Amino acid sequence: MSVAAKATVNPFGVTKCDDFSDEEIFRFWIEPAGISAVHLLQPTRLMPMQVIGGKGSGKTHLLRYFSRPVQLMRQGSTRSPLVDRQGFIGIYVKCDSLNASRFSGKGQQEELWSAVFQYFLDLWLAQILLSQLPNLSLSVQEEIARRASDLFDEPPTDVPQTLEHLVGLLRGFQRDIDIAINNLPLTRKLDVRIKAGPSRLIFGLPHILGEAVAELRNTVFLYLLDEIENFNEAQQKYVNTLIRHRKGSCSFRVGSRLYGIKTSNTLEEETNRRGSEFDVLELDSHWLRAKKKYVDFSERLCIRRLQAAGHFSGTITDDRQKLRNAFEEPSSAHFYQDYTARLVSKYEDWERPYFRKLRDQLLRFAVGSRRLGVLSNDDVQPIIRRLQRPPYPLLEKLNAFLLYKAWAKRANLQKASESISKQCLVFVQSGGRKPSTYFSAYQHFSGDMLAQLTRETSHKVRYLGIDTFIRMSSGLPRNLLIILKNAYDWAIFNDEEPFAGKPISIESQERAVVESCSWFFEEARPEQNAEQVQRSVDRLAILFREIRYSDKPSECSLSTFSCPSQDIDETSKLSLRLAEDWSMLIRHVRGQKDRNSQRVDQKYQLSPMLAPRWNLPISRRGALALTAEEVNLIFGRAAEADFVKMKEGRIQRMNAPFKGGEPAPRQASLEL
Amino acid sequence: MIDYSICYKRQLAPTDPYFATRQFDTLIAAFTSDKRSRALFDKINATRKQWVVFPEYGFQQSECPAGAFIGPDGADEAHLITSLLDTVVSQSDRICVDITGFLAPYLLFLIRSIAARGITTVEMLYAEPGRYLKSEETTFSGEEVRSVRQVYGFEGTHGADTTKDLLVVGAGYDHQLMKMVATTKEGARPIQIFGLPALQPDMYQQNILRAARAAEALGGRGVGEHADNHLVPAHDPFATATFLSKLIEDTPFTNLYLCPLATKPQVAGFGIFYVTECLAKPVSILYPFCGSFPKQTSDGIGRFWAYTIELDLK
Repeated sequence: MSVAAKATVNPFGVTKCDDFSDEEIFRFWIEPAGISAVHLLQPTRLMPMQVIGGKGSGKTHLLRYFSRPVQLMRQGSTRSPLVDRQGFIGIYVKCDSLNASRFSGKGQQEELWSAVFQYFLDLWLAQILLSQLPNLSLSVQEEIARRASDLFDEPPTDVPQTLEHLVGLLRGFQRDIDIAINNLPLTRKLDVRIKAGPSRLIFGLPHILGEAVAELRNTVFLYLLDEIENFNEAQQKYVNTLIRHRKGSCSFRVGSRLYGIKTSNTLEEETNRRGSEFDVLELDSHWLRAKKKYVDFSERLCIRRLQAAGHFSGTITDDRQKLRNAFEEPSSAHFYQDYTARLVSKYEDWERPYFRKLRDQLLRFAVGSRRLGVLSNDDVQPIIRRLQRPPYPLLEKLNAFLLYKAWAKRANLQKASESISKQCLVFVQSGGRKPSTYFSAYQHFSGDMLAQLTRETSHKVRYLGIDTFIRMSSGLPRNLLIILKNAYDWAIFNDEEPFAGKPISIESQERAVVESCSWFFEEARPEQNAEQVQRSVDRLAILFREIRYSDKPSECSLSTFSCPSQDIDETSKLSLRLAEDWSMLIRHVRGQKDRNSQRVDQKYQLSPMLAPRWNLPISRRGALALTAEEVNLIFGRAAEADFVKMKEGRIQRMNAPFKGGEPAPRQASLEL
Repeated sequence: MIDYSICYKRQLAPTDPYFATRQFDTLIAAFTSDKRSRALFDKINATRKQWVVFPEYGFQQSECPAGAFIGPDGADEAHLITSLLDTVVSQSDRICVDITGFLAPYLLFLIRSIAARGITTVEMLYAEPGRYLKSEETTFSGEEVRSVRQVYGFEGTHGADTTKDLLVVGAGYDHQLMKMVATTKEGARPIQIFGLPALQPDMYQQNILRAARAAEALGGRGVGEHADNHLVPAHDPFATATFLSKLIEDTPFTNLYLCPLATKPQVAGFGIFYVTECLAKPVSILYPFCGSFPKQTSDGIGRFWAYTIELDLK
């Protein structure tokens, strides 16, 4: 295949596994590292399980991997289609296929709808279960069909003789309901006759199959209900009732988005409890906890796609290296010397912008201060000169930052600049390896200083390379696929040869990130209160951005905040919850201990997928401690002017001349 | 396949003899702040003329025309249209409906309900816009989608096999609505219909610019040339219905979901096709229901059209 022909097929073109056939589900399956999928889902365990995850977290792929058609592919054609060592039959149902929203309103009582829905779901699941069975002898089919007829309160007049007839009978009952519902708005009468009690088919058929077919005797019938968020509260109560009162060898795995579980109650208003009635598998947090495993998984996911498209064909180790080399990235050697030299190249004949700014600020705000050691204009130049290290613009930025810190402490800037200069020299001479306070400052703030330097020299802050993309995806593989899909498309557009020739250019990666970020922001749009939530996230990100690009950021790599649980108003609580449900914010379960009160506060990180929109970091280090009042100004209904006032009050303390008092440091001190 | 283009369609000049010669028992028109939605009301000869005001437009009582049928807050499309027709229509009526200001679910249920009452012919009128108020940034719906559900009366008999589900979207300007629908039926193969010729020459480009924002949700194949992107005249309900009729003949499917988000004539085309060919089949019309719609979206008036809808072609 020529490169041009390859280029027409984007290996990352399919980003939703809904678009995969069963064969592709099998072919593109990636076993999670460290823990097998069987161990994750435990398909032969009778304890039901909820599989919870954000959009694109892989729920559907996981559940479909355990569906009967894919089971058969796993076991291969050499074994009997009926029996395998897996010990279960996966009955996969996408809940949206029931069009469950039909079962409400239209002037009917909710109790009536509830009963009709239960009957409908039973018929639906029964049809899918029967369609998963292999060819059975006619006598066995007759026995099953006859006994299944007895499950109905009104046995059918024409007793089915085969499974095909039985499925046809169930389909006919289902059609009767469909037609009655469709005509209801015209006839104003819901003419449905319920012919089997709740759950009779769901639990009764597996029981009959287990008795009629010897090879199914010890088989678990596993109902895989995906996208349960499509069911309303009353409908979910029925599923919860099935879970609570499950019978025989039936069990359930229920897939849902983060916001999808509307109730834990059953129809009898009993509450199903985690650990008692069901287990929970949280996919996002599983990956967020196991970061290295997620990186490994993501790399294998990419490699599998690239192998399928014919781009890669080596060993996994070789292909991992190829994947890393497939994206152009600036070298971090010698404190990003080459990269930063290009950034400042246009300032050969002028003072570099960060020193020009510092000079202006010193002249404007510091001259005349005995305490700062800047008595006259002549005292400014020596300070600047000491901070200069022309071959290393990033270290110059760091020097300026450290001087700002000293200024905020009202220290003598002559002495401070001398100290910074000496430490910088030692740091350079040691190749950046000798531990020191300067070393710590570099470790903590080099990312922010690089971003500031990039911005001050009128360049775009960049998010490049496979490691960055994996981190941006934050436990949601679909995010990674979207970035790679866009990177591939842009590379083709820019006449590159992605994964075949030179690395994908910085420009193509930049465009891909911008596009993916916009997609995520648009996609992460709650059905309700979307504007309120997006405005809140926007405000939060603007606050983070202003801190990051201030003279003396209070936190390094700021993308996280903590806040108390108390005194948060209802609107803000809702915005926080929706932002979390739609993966715009990631909540850290352990929270953050408040420095003063030892109280454990809530802690949230802005999704790294959104970081490029505001030029924010994708890594998480410092956490901004917000008060309840500040949270309400960001996430509540506060006027823009009130938010801006709060924000400016905070930022004032981080920009020269550092008015408004120095907040107590929240991190390890980096004093010089 | 049914060729709906045999139905009668004509463009009306402002001085067209049609206005003087055609007589109807009842004219129904939806009230909005768009000049074009009011343009035909006085020109049509009808024994009874009835404004209907949809609650989603948010008109105050004082803003509504005298004698208007005002839909109660919270009434669904079936409730409102059934009440309206019970009030103003009898089976023998020669009915004329100005669809310009109608919201899609009401228009669809109106078609379904008229057919269910045994009325086989209805005249529909449409006034095209001169321009949309904010070009490609014009919004035609409120921001908040209450739910994506099947339109009442358009709820099919679907099967559990979803392997070849199709989602046919009449692509309009509301890319958020398109995304919502696509998200609801993620497993279905999306097929997009774009209006070309458009109502005005620039509107096709505007449509494409907006629809491109929903491209990722709709299978990521973009809005350009693709076997699943189709062009159908924006002003012609019969061309739309014919396209859909041919589509189901040529394309095997397990379940078919239709979502008309483009022009009112296209919405009418979806409705005519469904009522004629899709009842009791695994076919539904989906719609993203919003709580509010802007009272005015366009300025000026383009062409006038009259369509004679026949609901007994099969």
